[in-house]
Amino acid sequence: MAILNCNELRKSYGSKVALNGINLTIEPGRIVGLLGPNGSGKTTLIKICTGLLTPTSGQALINGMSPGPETKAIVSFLPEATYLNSWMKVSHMLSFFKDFYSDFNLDKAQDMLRNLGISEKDALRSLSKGTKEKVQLILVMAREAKLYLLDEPIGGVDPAARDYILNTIIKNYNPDASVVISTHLIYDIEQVLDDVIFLKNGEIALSSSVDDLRENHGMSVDAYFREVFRC
Amino acid sequence: MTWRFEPDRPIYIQLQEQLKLAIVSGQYPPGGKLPAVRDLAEDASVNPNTVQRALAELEREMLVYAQRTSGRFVTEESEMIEKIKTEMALKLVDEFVSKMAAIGYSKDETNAMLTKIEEVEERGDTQL
Amino acid sequence: MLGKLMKYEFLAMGRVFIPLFGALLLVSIVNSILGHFGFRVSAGIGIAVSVILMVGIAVIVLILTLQRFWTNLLTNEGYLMMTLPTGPDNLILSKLFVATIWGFASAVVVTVAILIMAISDIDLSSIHNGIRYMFSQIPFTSHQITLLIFQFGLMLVLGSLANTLMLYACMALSMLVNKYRALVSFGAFIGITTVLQIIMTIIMVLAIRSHLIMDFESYIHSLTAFSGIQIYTWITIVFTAILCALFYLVTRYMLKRRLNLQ
Repeated sequence: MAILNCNELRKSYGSKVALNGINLTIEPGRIVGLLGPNGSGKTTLIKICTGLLTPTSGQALINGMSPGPETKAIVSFLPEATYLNSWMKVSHMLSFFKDFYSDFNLDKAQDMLRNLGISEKDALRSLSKGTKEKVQLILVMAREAKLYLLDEPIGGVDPAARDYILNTIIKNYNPDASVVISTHLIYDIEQVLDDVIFLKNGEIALSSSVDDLRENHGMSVDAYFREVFRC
Repeated sequence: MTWRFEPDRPIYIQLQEQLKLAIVSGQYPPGGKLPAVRDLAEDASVNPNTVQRALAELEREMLVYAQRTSGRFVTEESEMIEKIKTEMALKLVDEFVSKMAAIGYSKDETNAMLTKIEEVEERGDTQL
Repeated sequence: MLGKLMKYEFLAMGRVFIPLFGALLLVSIVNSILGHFGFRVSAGIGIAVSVILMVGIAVIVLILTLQRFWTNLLTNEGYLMMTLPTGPDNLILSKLFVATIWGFASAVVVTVAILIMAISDIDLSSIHNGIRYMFSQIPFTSHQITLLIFQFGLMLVLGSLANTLMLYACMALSMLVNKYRALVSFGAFIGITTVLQIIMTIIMVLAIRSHLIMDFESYIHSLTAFSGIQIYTWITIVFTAILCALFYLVTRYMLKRRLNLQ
């Protein structure tokens, strides 16, 4: 069964149409890039799949189910915004995830934190923005989820952090799980991807495997993207 | 191993080429074990499915064989590797000759140039 | 899931309240000891301090109740909380229950603190006698008194829940707009309280004006005092319960269907 299945998905905010009839299927074991300029509907699509937004019409099914507590248990979501601002310590966050997600692998998370030299005793509030983002990524990737939804994980991070993020995604690859990465920075990420989905004004402009696209057009996804979205 | 990928061709093909090069050059010796897909993917920073595909292509070419439990190995048939090596050499020579032709060297002139370079190198000189 | 959510909610609010309660009790004990050694403050100052304490704690309870809902669910932290494998019911109820419990705990602690401060001034046996006298003057049986105490307790709890839920509903309604959310919440608060005032006034006016109600009143007069109180109590309880349900459903709908985190 497909891990994610969108069927004529539409979302409008008042008169503004954010998604206009999205149809897509993501099979297990794929790493998919959700590409498009700002405002093309990437975040809206991801938020619908997490259950944070309700579609205006159509449906998004995760493992055959509409977003709800059951799908939230198998979806691991990295929002663009950092939410680690509280008084809690890193260790509190670990037990928080352990408490709420039965698929959270505490050892893996602790290992990843140690590798980055982040102390579990640090208060979240005291961490730098970059460290917060890394902790958040670790929490999300240490879950053994079925679907990872990463919203702009490499936007605004330095090259070393970007490599770390991409390596983490590769290292945690699981043939039963899929990863969706939304970004407008394609160049850095395309060799990590199986498939790309181009969103343009809330519609799917193209959906292809990376290698097919390179083979058929004789150029990188990044170059092709620039061509499609030339202003 | 350092990996380089050009932007205009499928990554699995480039991965396949570079793995082939490593086998032919003896970096992965005949009968030797290849790294696991996950490790190769991490090392080259590419998608594990792409690595899988490149390895499958090498398997199809009989350069690599899979053992169900213990992973993938380089073929033990050295003739096989030699054959691929020759193929690669021929391709390189072909490329070289046509490039030389493009700047106006005939085959004989190209040959003469190669001999000359060899002599210079033997003398340890840098001047042609 | 509700239990786990409440655990973290308890911790988050407790880290403000526990030191606060500790400090409060400590100050009142010190004050009481000083009193023993003759450092008396005048009754006026004592009352003023008590009033400031009560108001202060009430304000802190209010601010924390607002802040825990607003920051934790409707700002960036909402990305974490609203994607937990649970529904809006558990999220709302965990916050509601924990805020209510800390609210009542505060009331108890403030009362205790004031009693400690006043302990040297009052004669405990006179309070005891006073209470006994009060009960002896009430023309009800002990069963009726038990029932009334239960009902007043219920009214207190329901009233507190309704107030908190109204605040939640006002905050959740701000999801309808993209800007000036705090302002919209405040507007919703003014709007809802005004509408409630109007409804209550209309009910009162009707009760006084309408002949039907006049008959109703004479019916009440024909009853014993206890039955009269019973009718008013039950009406209040049902009305408050309806308000609770209403505010809860609004909050739930907004979080489930109209969530719009930025």
